[in-house]
Amino acid sequence: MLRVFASIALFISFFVLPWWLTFIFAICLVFYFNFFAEAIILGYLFDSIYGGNGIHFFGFSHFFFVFFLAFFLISFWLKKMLKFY
Amino acid sequence: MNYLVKSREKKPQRNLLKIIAILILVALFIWLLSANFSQNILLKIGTPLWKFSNSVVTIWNSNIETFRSKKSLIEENKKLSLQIENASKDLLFFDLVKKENETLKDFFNRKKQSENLTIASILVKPGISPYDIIIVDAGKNDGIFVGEKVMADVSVFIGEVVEVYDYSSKIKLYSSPGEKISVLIGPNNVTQEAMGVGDGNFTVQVPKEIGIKEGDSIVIPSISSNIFGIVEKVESKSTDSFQSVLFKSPVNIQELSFVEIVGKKK
Repeated sequence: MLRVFASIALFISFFVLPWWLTFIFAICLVFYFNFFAEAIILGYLFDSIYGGNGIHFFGFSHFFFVFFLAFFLISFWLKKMLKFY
Repeated sequence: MNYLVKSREKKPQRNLLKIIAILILVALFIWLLSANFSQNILLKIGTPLWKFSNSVVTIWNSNIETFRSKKSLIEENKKLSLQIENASKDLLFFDLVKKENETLKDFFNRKKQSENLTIASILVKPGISPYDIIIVDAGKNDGIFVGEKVMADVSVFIGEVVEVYDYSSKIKLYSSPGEKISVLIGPNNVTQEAMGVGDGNFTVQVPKEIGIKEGDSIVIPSISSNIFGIVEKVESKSTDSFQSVLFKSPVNIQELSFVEIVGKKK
């Protein structure tokens, strides 16, 4: 249930909050929940709604999708490595 | 009797299968989201949320002034009054020059053709969006097409329409990092290529012989003399043959509520 609320809050923050706040929120949720694939969908939404034809983020056109996909995969290893986790 | 606790066998294969299954589901979801109707639905969901967010920001900005000190308000009032006085004098001269410009154009039969302007309200600005784009509430149903130029404050070009949906459009700003545009700079209107660096700022390299100073205007090649930027800083080293000019759009994107989309000329 908490995960459902968190996903809805993340979806709303995508529209309402500055992008960097949503970005940090998504990263925290990836660490908090197991298999938080909603972050990958958020990354895709960033690129499709706010990006588009010829629109780049520091030279990368699908930066957020690639970042969240890579971060999702790396998070499994990171969670094992982090002591407090 | 005590028994040794059997250590839980790790099943990495199970986790791997789970990850693959999740990625396949995500890929299917993204495939659905990439369809045009999905984009329209997402933008329709977003529009009221963006409007609500903009309203909250406007109310907050208008009420935060009540917490400012009396002294700072008096000082700002004096500063603004002086600016208005100076601007009024410039405006008289500007009106004369504008009238002369129109007379000359009329004489050479180059009068500006009437433009089809569509006023659109801004839903998303850079800040909410990580990319240097704005989303407005005018789309295909309002006669907007890809490639149309966008103005702010009546006469300053700020970007172009890059994507159009049913009820909204995406506008890429000329100041997007890496975006290039030809501009006229200097007293002799030399054509140079300016590059956007984000947030309404541009940079352009010009030869040192061209006399540029802070406050100079920069225009884009066009029959209309619309100001495109104001020079903020000129940097050069004694050993360089070029000088780096940093200029900024006279329009503050963060303070805009509306833009004008220039349609096809009649």
